[in-house]
Amino acid sequence: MSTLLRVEHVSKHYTLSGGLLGAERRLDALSDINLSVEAGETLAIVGESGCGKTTLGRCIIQAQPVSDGRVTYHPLGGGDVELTALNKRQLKPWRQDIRMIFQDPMSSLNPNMRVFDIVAEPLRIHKIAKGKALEDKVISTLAKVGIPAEAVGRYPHAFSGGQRQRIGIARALVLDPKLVIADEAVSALDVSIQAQVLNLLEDLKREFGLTYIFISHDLGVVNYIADRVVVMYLGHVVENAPTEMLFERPRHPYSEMLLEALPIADPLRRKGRSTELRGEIPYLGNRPKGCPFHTRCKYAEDRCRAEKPVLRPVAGTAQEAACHFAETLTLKGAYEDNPPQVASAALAGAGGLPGRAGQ
Amino acid sequence: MAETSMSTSGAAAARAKRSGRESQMGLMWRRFRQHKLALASLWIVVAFYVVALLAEFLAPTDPSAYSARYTYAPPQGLHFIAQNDDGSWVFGPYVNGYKTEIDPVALRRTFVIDEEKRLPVQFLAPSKPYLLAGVIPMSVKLFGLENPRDPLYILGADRLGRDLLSRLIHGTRISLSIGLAGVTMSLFFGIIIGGFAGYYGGWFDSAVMRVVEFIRSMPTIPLWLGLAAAMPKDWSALQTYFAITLILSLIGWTELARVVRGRFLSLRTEDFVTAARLDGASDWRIITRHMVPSFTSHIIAAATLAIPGMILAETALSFLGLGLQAPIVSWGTLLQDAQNIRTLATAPWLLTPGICVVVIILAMNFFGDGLRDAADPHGR
Repeated sequence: MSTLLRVEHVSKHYTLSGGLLGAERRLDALSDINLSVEAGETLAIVGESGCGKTTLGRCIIQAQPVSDGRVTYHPLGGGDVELTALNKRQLKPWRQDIRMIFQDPMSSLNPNMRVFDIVAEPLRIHKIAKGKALEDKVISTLAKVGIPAEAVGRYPHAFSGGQRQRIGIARALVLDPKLVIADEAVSALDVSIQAQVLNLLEDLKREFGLTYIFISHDLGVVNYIADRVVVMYLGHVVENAPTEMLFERPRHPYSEMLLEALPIADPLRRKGRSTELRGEIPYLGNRPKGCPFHTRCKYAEDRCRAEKPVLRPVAGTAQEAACHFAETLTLKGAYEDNPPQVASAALAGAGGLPGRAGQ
Repeated sequence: MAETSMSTSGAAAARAKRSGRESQMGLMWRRFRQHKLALASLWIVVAFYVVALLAEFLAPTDPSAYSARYTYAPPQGLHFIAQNDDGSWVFGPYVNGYKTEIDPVALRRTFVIDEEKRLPVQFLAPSKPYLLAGVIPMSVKLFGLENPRDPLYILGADRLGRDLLSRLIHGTRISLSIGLAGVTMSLFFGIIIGGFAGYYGGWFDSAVMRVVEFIRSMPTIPLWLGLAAAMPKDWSALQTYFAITLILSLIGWTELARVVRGRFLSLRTEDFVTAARLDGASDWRIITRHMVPSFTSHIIAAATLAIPGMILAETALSFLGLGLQAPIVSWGTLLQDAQNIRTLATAPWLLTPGICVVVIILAMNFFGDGLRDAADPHGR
């Protein structure tokens, strides 16, 4: 597999003005993020609200400028394109390759445009097709996501949330992209519709050879769709691991905490398990010294409060973690009280609820 | 919502809803029609503008034609049925003539309606040739007396014996058009300045908003008075007209700039605008194709609500003698005649323009409210 996109030392900070007399304050939304996306994989970015996962997605797609660092795109034909160094005009051709699916299907479609025009808009902007060819492309793309041709003259208000999200997917796919960033693409939908949309994303990935960056807070969904998971906390990547390994044995206490919070439907197995996330996520502008997670970590020692751990490969595994004790701690995975075979059996059923969370 | 709208709207609208092909404007119109008061107000407003447009045709006489014989002649009214002395009935519109009486106390000559004299009114009466709205040559009025020498003062006459109805109709044209022109000019400045401030934000936005706050914190009447007083007295009627429009819109643009800026600001972070940006669309395309269509309805509503303010301001200025000047006829200059109490005691009909002002302002406000509610159903 070749690397499709590389994020190197990306930081993003906002300056908060302190009003008329107050001092300016710096808010670090992302600090020194490094990751790479391999062609054909589905990379999930997970974390609690406010951890910077959406900001990272927006920095990758250049909806926001990065404060520091580089985002480099490697087109399949070869070559390097440093997206962060390009201006608006230079960026335009690459916008065809990297597309985005938005979280809220209610606000991501222009209420004043017919569905046909919404999906045709990218083709018109990039002057890819005209007339009959444009029409064919739009109709066939909408057909792929299950919107019938007779509905293309309607306005978004006439569609349900799931249908709108599929229209949003069609808009992303109409340019034949290589990389699709799905920012909480299913979290605004009902659970049954989530499954439908996730399966659609899987099918489209196979059909078009897509690569996904799947931003989500729902580990159940992530387990279902992702090949690899990046766990973020307070603007840092704390763990980067293949999905199976992360769920089997996380290497960072924060990952363990997230996995513990997964709901289990069986009350007998649930007994004696703490499902709460301990503590509150600290305010970004007031980041703790040392390991950013030490305020909530039950394994924290003096070293954690003084020294900031870096993201490093954990000896003997394919996982990377930013924890001083990644090798020595034995952290509980999700499968211990929730065997994986049950999970896959449930998903094998028609449509299946997304994720193992629901059993 | 679905059920009520289905029952109140026509079959065509229901069909459009079923297939979801109704545009935002279509939806808005359907919501607007459910607001009965607003709908009625719309018709009143339309009627007023039709009067303004067809002023020459509707006004029975020349608004500046005076007659010393009929100063402060009381309203004749328009009658349709009369009974002769012999008991027979006469149908058809007519007005009564006048007779002179001497007030035995004040020894003043006054006009009273002469019930005996009936002057038949003719529809589509021939008249001196004129240009309708300054374009279409015509030589017929909607109505007039069979004998053009007879007095026709349906709403009474003023100090110079001019017909109040004709003056009112011509004044409607000036007063309403000044409202429209002022709002158009305000809209022009408001959209450009507010649009820039809202779309680009930053220091320009802060600067513009401070200027707007400064202008809005000034007391308007003294400001208008000052500006109007600075106008040279030898300007022609047309020049004064435009100068007044400009003065009114100098303050009017601030409100509209705020509305436009607010819409731009809230739309700028809307996902569908980000989506358009990520499609690679240019700023111009984003603004014209994605943002402006989303708030035209709000702008129309805001503009409609701004018109009454303009009309009131013009009326107030002219009433105080600082706005439009005679010979221009506007509601404000007409009300100027009703300024002193003695005139009011002898000729209360000179207050009719005030009734017109109240009616149109109320209608415009209800209409604008209805539009705003229809444009923003969640804002209620």
